[in-house]
Amino acid sequence: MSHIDPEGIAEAVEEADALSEPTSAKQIGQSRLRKEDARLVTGATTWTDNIQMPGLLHMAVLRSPMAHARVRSSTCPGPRRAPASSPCSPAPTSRRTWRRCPALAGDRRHGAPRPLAAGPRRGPPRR
Amino acid sequence: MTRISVTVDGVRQDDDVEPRLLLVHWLRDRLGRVGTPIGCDTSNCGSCTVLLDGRSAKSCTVLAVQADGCDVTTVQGLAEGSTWHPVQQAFHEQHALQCGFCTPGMMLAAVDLLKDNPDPTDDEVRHGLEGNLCRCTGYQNIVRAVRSAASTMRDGGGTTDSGTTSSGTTDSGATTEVSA
Repeated sequence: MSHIDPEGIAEAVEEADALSEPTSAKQIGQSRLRKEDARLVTGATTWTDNIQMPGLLHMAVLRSPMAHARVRSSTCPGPRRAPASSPCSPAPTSRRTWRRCPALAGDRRHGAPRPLAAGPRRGPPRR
Repeated sequence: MTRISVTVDGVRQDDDVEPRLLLVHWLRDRLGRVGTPIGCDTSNCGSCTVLLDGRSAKSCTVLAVQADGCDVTTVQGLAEGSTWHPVQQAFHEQHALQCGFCTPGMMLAAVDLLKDNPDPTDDEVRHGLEGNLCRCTGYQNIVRAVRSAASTMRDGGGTTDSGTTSSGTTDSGATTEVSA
């Protein structure tokens, strides 16, 4: 086991001039300036609603005002505003996984949060 | 469709818009100036505040056609190149933001406030910014930042070089045409 000589280390550091002068500025306990402020105070934010790219589609989700109800009928408005390649989406009911835990309500609606239908459009949905 | 001509952040924009189109939707969806966020859509939160001919206005309450012939300044036009406005610098240094969603509206409302009152008290800042909501900071640091910016501007300190780049600022005098 080698012996470490603290005085020898201190002398080596001093000779190498590796110690900086202590500053009067107090750093511990001070708030640090945030790097992310640069984009936040200049409007260069990248929140989801700010994403812009060619062909970007937005999806509008229709939710029922009824907490528990049966969907007797529904109509799709067609591709009036939506692109033909992305039609209005009714709830798929044929696949087992979707039946067990569907993203859309299908013919029944249980609980408030489940959406009934979804449809795309080119611009963001605006009231 | 109505023809409008608006100068946005120093760039003249000519466009045909529906009379019902809101100014904030025109800025974001047609011009791509997404630095102005939409918070509540109902004029409560003030996050969409812009300067309309130098006066603060909630752009979700203004129709684009009402801004015809006006000069609009958004948060993206507040800095001069890489040089921040004193209010931007003060918000950064005084920790007046956390998530930053209300910050564009807060800063532009503060700029308008400081035009009317170059040396506001804490109460006057709170009164002047009462139309802007912040859920992060508890307002204390925002008030401090506005008063700090006021002090800087009173001392003749204009914009200060932040050493960082701000996107979205454009050369003034340029003209662009928005395609339909």
